[in-house]
Amino acid sequence: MHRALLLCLFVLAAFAPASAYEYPFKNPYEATVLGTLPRDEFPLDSIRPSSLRDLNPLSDLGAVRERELLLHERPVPEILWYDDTLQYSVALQRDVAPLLFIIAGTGSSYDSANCRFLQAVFHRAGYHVVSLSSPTYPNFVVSASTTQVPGFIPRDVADLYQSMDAIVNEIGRDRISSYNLTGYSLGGTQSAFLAELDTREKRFGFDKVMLLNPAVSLLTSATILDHLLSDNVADRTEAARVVADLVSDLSAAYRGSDEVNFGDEFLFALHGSRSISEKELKILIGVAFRVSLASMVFTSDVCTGAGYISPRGHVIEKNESLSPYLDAAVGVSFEDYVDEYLLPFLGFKDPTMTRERAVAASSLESIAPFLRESTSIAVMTNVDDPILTPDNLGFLKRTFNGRLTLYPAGGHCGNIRYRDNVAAMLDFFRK
Amino acid sequence: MRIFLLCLILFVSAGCATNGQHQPGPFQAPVHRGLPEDPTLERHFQVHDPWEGFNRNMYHFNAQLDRYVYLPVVRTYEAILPDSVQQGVSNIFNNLKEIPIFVNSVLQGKAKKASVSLGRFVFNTTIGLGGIIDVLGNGGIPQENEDFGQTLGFWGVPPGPYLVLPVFGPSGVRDTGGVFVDAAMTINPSYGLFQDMSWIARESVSTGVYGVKAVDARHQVKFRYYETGSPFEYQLVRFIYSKKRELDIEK
Repeated sequence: MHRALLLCLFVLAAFAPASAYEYPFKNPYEATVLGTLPRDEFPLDSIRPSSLRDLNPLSDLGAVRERELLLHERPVPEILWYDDTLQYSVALQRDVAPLLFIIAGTGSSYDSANCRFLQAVFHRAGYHVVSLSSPTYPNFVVSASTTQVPGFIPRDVADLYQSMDAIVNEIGRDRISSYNLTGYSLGGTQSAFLAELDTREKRFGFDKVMLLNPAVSLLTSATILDHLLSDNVADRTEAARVVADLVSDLSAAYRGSDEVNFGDEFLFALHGSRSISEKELKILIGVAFRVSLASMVFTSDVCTGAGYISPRGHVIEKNESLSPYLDAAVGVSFEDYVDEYLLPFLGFKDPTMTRERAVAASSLESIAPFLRESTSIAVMTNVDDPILTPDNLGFLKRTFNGRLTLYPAGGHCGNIRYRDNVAAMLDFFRK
Repeated sequence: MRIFLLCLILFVSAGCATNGQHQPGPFQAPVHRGLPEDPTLERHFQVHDPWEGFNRNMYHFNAQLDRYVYLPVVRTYEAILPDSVQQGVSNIFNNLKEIPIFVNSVLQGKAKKASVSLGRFVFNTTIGLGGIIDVLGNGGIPQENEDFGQTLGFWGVPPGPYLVLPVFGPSGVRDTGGVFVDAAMTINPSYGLFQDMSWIARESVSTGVYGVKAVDARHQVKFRYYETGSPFEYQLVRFIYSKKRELDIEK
């Protein structure tokens, strides 16, 4: 009798569906803005108890350290004085261990919430972890970019590669047993190019590479993000009004509660207080993208002195108001940036450069044969990621085949910290 | 004060190390994105800031002071002392802040906040060994947030222009007045304890206490200059500060 019951159970277990994917936000824009609720995040304690780190505060080598590195001995514009060195963060093991690089997404720093989370996960899992800012982040533009004009992926990736090499030399190569790489959003795209560059330069020899929510084509994805704003508002005044309304709703949530502070929990609080319409979510994502683009464009322009935003030859003093420059810079879409600044710059450096060549070279399709053959590279993304067109998804499926994990929901990077996703990442790197 | 002067000297010498003048490169953009001249443009995030030039200089000064002097000292402090000791030091100074919080709650007629503040001060000072342990905070009764700037705001005093103070950072004309009133209400714990000592000993102890207080204050503030990564950080901080003060007063 017992045996029969056990047999029944086994049979049932075999037919039971694999546990369903329960990431809560089914709307991709909601997922993109709200990310993963703290209760749904991968539990850090399940890897290693946090108290281990606090045993000896005097020699806590395991803690995350923020570091600076001087890569280029060149004068920095006075108003950008604080960005003269490349900032990154590192969490080291006490002994020889594998190293994992994390590359941040568009406009984000080594200290972004996603980087910090992944760094904590993999450090506890026994890796040395180095987080790097995106080449589109102002600190990287000023301190690490050779041209100081970001957006052309082969050039940006070469700069990243140099920085990674210099950081590894700082850590000491004899402390590292193998090299691994991951990145999200644009950082995912760049990781693929880095892997390809490394097969030629051979400084690391990556063991495993994982691309999280990568863009297939930088121009296509950036244009989609731009249109989230431009298709949903009549003009800049309306965009400003919608965002101001959202902020005052956030304020209402702040007033209504004693605990809410201006922090990460803010959006969750707003979400609880009223539902945000899909149009508002799109505008919010579009505005966030535009504002980070404005920071990048202005920083690059000040460094090159090209006269795109601030007048050529004008030195901005430290007490000068930057409000007019912000107004000018937020008016620049990514396509404007490409056509009015990036392409002319590339053409100035190399007269044979055309728009088609530059756009193609910044797409994963340009290294498709390499990606098809590289069994150590995997991709994790979502069917509903708004930065991917159906064509882009088709390309990922054809190129990566069984190495592509496609989640049914999560928007753009919304589920990176979700428990199932992180468990799958750990599985991939540890295998 | 002496520590502040010492910091200033260190800071000025650190600021002398520059690495040449930045020059524009040979590339010139074919398009100049002229500054928009549309005066009808609504500016939702605009804050009244007639002294922007002075404020920006001060912001710059504070950021350099932070980077070259203040933060290295705070980092050393954090590296040397165990977390529990740092927490105890923060608790002592936070406990002394209950006095202005209590007074300001009373001035605004907020009885509940005043009683919470008084209760916290009495329990933490006695059971919490002079404030080293935040007994009530650990029990789920956190510190209230009231200061004289909020009291003035509560009684209808307008915020006045945005003002960046040396060392203290973002403020407004009204809140600046509040900072001094609150400081006058916060006693230095060494005065009561070391009354029998000689004048010199008492002065040096009290200077030391002010020094630790300054380090602890920076240790407790999570804000780091230029951590937003944006060259437009000044505007961002100005907007958030002003909005937050507005909301604090309404609470």
